[in-house]
Amino acid sequence: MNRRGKQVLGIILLAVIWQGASWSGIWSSYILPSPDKVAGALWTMLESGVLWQHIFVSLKRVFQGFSIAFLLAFAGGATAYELPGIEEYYKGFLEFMRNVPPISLIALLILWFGIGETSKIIIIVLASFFPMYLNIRKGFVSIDKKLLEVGRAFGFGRWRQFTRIVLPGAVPDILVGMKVGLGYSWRAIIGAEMIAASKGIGYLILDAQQMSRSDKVAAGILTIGAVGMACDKVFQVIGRMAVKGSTKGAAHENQGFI
Amino acid sequence: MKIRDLYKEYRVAAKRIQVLKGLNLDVDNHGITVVLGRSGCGKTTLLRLAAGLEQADRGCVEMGSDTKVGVIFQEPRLMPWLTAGDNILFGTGKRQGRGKQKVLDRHLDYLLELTGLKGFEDAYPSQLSGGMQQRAALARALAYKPDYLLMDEPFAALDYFTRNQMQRELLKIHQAEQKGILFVTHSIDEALTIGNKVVILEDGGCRKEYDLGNIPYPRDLLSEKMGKIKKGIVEEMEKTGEIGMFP
Repeated sequence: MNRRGKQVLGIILLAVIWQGASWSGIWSSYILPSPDKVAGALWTMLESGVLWQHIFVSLKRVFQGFSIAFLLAFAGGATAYELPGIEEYYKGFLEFMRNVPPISLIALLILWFGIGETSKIIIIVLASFFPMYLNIRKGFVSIDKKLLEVGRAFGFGRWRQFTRIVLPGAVPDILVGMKVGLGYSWRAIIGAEMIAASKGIGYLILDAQQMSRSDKVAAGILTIGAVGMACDKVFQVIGRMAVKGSTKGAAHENQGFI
Repeated sequence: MKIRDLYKEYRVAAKRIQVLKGLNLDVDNHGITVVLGRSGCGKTTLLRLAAGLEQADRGCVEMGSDTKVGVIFQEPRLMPWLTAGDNILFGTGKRQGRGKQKVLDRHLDYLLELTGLKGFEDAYPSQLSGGMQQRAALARALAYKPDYLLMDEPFAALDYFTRNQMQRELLKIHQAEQKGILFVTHSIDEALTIGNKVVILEDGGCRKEYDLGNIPYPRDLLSEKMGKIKKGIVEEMEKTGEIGMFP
């Protein structure tokens, strides 16, 4: 059986076990909502269009937060390479912030930025910045000095060194960072939408929790996972186009990306 | 290219080591000048100074202000994310392009032909053998249209037969391009095969110079004449028995 087939079979098997467990009646349908009940809740929300709205709102937040985090991470990583002296100023602070869970900042963020979109996006930025920053930084800083010498021998200036050697050389690490960062921003959506949201998948789950609708909670979880996977796929396709054939290069192999 | 009174010192583990001590060398602008020396005698240092990759403590490398040098390192140092064609064009700022956007670059075409890489322009470095990678590195340096080629033991990592073949090809390319070449090696045979002028680098300076300009290529190293020269060089190099330690 091919890989795709095995993956699908695994999921079907899980669903069958789940269905069997709920039929067995050991747990009440409140503790373990049956697959058909969850599918029903999912279908109702899809049909009424509510779910699409939630997905759209969450996607928009994830996209905004992720983009800002990427720009910051890229700038930070590039600075670490070009101006290592400057990096020392923010290194300590970043090391500190890396150990602070974004959710612990919710109270302060609400005080400072209110309960609007800003606080939610900041949570996502905080969650996805570090994996991107660390990978992008590594990509820039660990560039092969021998390749840089080739550029110097051709009389390349700083800008050409960066755009023609450092940046393309760092592409695999940048893509890995972005991939991990995207996953982290999805995970952060629940935390972000804990802040007085009225839309979004995170809100959907928290609201269902308060209404004791475990089937809707499960439907929300399935949605987050599915949309996250879809995003990852889209990103993979874009990434592959961005690097085109370069992934065949030796330094670009086995990066876990392709 | 005239190298005058070159001094260079390194610090290794808080110890000062004088690698080059007032080295003088004339590099002919279309012959092959070979600098021969043991491992660690400062050959690579000399080449790096000539290439402008390092600064001399004293002395200078004299050449015209618009003189261009192409460097070929011990390793091919190709960009793994570029095809062979794009690697060759790397120093020129041009791109080969792919598929339909592919532009025919005459010079690239000529270089591919010259270095025997025709048909491999779309291959990535990891798909090429060591010898072919080094050819691409040579083509990359030539594409830059340099006045001088600086070569740092470029064939040292290749097997015996590939090495011989590359030496023959280098002679062919030299014939076609007529560039001044400064070639650094520790192999006496290699020096005798390709050098117009062979200079022995020892104790931070050029100890002895052999003019082989009157011996035509291809040379038979087993001939009596070459054997005599080789013997002389070996004896000369054995005089100082100490092991060098500089890069």
